[in-house]
Amino acid sequence: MRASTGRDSPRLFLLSLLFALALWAGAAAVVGREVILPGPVAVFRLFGRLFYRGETWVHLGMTLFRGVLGFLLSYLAGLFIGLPCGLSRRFDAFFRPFLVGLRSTPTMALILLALIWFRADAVAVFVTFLAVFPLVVQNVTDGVRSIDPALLEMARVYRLRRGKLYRRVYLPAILPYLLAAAASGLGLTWKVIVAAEVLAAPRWGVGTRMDRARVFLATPEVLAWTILVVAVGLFFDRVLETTVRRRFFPWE
Amino acid sequence: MEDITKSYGTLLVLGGISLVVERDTILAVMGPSACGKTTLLSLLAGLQTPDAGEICGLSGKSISYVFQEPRLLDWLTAEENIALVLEDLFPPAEVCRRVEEQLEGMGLLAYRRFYPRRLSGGQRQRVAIARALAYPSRLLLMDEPFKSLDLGLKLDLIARFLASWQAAPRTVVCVTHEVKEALLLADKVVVLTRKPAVVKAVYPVPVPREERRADTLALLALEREITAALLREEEREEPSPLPA
Repeated sequence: MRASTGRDSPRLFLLSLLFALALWAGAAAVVGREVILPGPVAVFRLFGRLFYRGETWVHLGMTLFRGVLGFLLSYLAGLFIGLPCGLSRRFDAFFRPFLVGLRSTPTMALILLALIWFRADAVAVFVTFLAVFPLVVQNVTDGVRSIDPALLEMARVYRLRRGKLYRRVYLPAILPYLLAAAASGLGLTWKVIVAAEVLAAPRWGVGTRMDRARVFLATPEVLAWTILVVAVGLFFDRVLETTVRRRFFPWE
Repeated sequence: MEDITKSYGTLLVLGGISLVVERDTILAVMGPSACGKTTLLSLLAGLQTPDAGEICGLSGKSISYVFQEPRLLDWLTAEENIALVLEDLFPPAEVCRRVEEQLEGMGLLAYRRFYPRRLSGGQRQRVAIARALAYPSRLLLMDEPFKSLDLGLKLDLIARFLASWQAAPRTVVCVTHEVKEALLLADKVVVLTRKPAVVKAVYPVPVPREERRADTLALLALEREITAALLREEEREEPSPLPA
């Protein structure tokens, strides 16, 4: 499903990281103006300064909190709608237009409406919820549909009780899809949350800081925050990929 | 279980089959490929309903089924796969006893904690057979259970299966492609015609099960006869849709 964890993959990862840094440093040297494109050294120096400032962690913490909250709400709601969608074609047919509509709504439109409706703090949570929700529903629906009918037939012959059928047959069968839903949902979360914060400008939030830095043409700071958000995304992805996978898929 | 009489005519596949299976005997069902043998089993299992006709003496009876494929849950070990179908019926100690007994019978005790993906195809099929035997059914349906096993293992498993069956006899309907296999297992061999299938002939097996070997003389004659009947049926022209 994901990139292989072969023996030389950490080395390749390091290599591609070095390549990216070299590319970046080269481009910065060619441009030659820190306001347009600061080099890696300048950005990491600023990153170091941010690191020792307490405020930084409050900003990051609030963004994380909003992201995780919005994601969890949409994940739960996605399960709640996705399971019946997978089990019943009619339920799916009823919900599909909503989901397709929601998915093709520009994120910016959601943010603008949320700005009208909610306080600045809640905007990002609401937007994350709506943006991630259709993704989760789709994954859960696909997961339920993917269950081998032959296994269900077997369960019927041996008269498995309904509770056991759901717990021991359905749930493990859709678990990989639930994990995929979480991975892609979280990935989307970090993108959307920063956009929402940039526009809503809550008191605390990475997006707010990024926009402030942009106004002051503090380009290194914009990039430093960006790197921080990317690191958060990578961290969550690794956690899902390793811890959760090992915990839930002992048979693989 | 009373004797079962079944007759049905599903539009395409089964053109009105009637047969009787005596309680606690083994019936082997043979016939040309794709003649509807699997359909027959799934009707017996209640997974499909006949368009016409009746299946008697089966309502409410518990059934176990060895499908053509093992149909194991990848996320449960061999022993958990078997225990799964027993847990609602027995206390834990009895579940454990039955699981061990059947795994032992299939020669799989060493593999009890293996996940299906780590077992070979033949081992998986044996787990499926063990599951069907561990389940306290009155009727056992088997769809080519010994297919895709090499000869030595196949004969070994047939012997193990019969031992297990003799310890606790139940009614068995077994679809198979191999005459030798049918003659080692069955009390009665039914040969079906091509689609739409009807019963072409029923051959009782005259030799007591204990005395049967792959080369028993009386069986060889019967083997030749059934093989001839099957070949004739295979070679028969597909009936034209409209009578000339």
